[in-house]
Amino acid sequence: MPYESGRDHAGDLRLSCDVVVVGSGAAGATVATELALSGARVLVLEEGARVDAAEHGAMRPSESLRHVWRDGGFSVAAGIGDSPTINVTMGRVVGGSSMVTGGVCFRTPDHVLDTWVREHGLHGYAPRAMAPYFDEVEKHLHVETVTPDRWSRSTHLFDAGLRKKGVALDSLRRNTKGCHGCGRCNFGCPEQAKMSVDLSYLPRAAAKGATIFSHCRVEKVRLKGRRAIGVEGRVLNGPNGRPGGKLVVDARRVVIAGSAWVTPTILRRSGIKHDVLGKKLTLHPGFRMMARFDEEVEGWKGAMQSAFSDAFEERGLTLVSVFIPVSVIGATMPGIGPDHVNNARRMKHVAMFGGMIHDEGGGTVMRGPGGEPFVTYRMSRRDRARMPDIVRLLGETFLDAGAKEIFPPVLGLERGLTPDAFRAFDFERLPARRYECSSQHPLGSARIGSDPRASVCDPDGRVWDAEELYVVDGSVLPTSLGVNPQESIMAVATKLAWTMRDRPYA
Amino acid sequence: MYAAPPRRPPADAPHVAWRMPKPLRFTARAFAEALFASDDGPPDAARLDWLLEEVEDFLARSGFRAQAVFQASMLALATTAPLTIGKPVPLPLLDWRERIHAIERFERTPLGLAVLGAKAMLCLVWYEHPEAAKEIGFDGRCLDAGHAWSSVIERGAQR
Repeated sequence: MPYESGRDHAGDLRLSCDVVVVGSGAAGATVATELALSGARVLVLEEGARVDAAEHGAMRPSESLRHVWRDGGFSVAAGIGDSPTINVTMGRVVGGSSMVTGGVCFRTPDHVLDTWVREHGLHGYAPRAMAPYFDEVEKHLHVETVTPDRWSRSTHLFDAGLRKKGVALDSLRRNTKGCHGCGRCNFGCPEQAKMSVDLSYLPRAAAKGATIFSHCRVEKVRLKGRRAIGVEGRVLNGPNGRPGGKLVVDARRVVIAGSAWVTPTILRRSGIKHDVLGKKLTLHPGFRMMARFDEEVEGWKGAMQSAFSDAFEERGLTLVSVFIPVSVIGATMPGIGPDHVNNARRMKHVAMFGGMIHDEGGGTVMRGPGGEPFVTYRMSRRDRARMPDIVRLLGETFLDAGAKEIFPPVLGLERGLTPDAFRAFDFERLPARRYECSSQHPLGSARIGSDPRASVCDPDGRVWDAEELYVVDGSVLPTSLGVNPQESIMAVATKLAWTMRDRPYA
Repeated sequence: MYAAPPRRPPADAPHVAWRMPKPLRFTARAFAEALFASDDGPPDAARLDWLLEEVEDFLARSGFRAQAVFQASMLALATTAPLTIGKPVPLPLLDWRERIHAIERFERTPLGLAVLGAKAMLCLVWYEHPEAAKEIGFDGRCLDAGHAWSSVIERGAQR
């Protein structure tokens, strides 16, 4: 059976394979598929459940949060010093975070790849060298441009405001096929139109003999001397879905693809020690801006994400359209009691747009209660100064488009701000803790590099000083990208998988 | 009257049984009563019952961290929010109008993030009720017929 559930196995579970891949998200699915296609016996272990398209479609957003998202969507990076506490959302399901993204696909910008070459000694990652990997990923993901008829009215309004600054939005590229724009991509596509890895990669791995196990939590890598010989953890077959039987896997090669959030804790528990392990985590701190117009916007009609602007990259800002489900918007409407209810009742008139900061790494992944990751984030002074900049930019753009009321991402407001009140608001002196900030892009906590003192893994993803132990996920990216990272993660995973494929086992 | 939407867990989801401790449920209900009170007063009891059952299932399935965030938020609200208006009693014992005042004041303190945590969890569920969705003008039509949320709203409207 290609798909199995740990819940269907009572007691302990012992398995063997050539390559065990820990995590079934964008990176794990890519490396598992590429290695299965090369003839390796591949086993994929996923902590979350397996959910098919019909089941995604049957769930309300809050049901999706409880079954598909890590921590029900309430993972946080605790702000240190004058930094915001950041809500970080990730998938915990077969398909990982590819199930909960808006499907946005960007190639890694050339200037970022040039930095990797220049500052991290990653000569195989130059723009020209990476092109074949992006081509390969785009072929399987079915990356296409969102046509303007899929833009929501909310996006068109923001575009109108931006044009008054002499800038126009560009259409995003997304991994979709036959999308009708129902606006709930991040709660699992009910129409199999978003080509998440459960559709675009894992079936190909399964067809070549790979087995994908859900409800299996890996806690550590088994090492014999310096050599990885498998993994161990727990099968989540206990009462209430808690850890039950012991999980032991014998493997010739171990690939950790648990995400920048989880991978450092697995490596540390395995005895891997390194000064930068778990450090320099980048998040792309993100901010949403809502604005009320006189007209009915009904921003939920259209693709959840459809357009962007990189015109402000020199200021470290990328603007990306987003319109989240109304229940989630309701949660961010200011006020308590009648103020809140009256704001929510005007939701039809509300437009929304988002932006993110191309940040320096200020996050640290530590081991928290129950062995779960505990993450802190200290924002650099440069990025701290960018917070009011991005909030002003988003709000003023909506005002230029004719917005009558602005709902900035600020905690403790009883109601929206009039145009004059918004312009007069002292965002620069607002404490960072009062900014409402979120992230969907944790990266860089086990980075690759050519210097063993400054990186956890070598340029091929091998953990320095270990044999047959690889890291292949967002944690290996040495810097933040300034754009949504799914395609970059998959292209790097493809590159590392192809290198691995050609290398004999130790 | 709209029907409360059903739950449809995936086949691979574990069965969970976790009950919200009584003091937590008491505080959560008092907070929800204030949060969703309109100019006409607090929402009706049946809607709050449904909300708390859903939040209980949400917390049961979302794991330790979500439970910890919610419990810590509620503890901070129950004990500290009333102090911001000079009333040294637990939040649920205040009149709902006083609760609103206390929560608003509390939200502007350094512990104000607790309000966002609690509010987010309750709102996520609250606005999925067909009646709440109707109140905010969301008809679910952006979702093609046959998919849960829109069909739930349509079925509810037909009753």
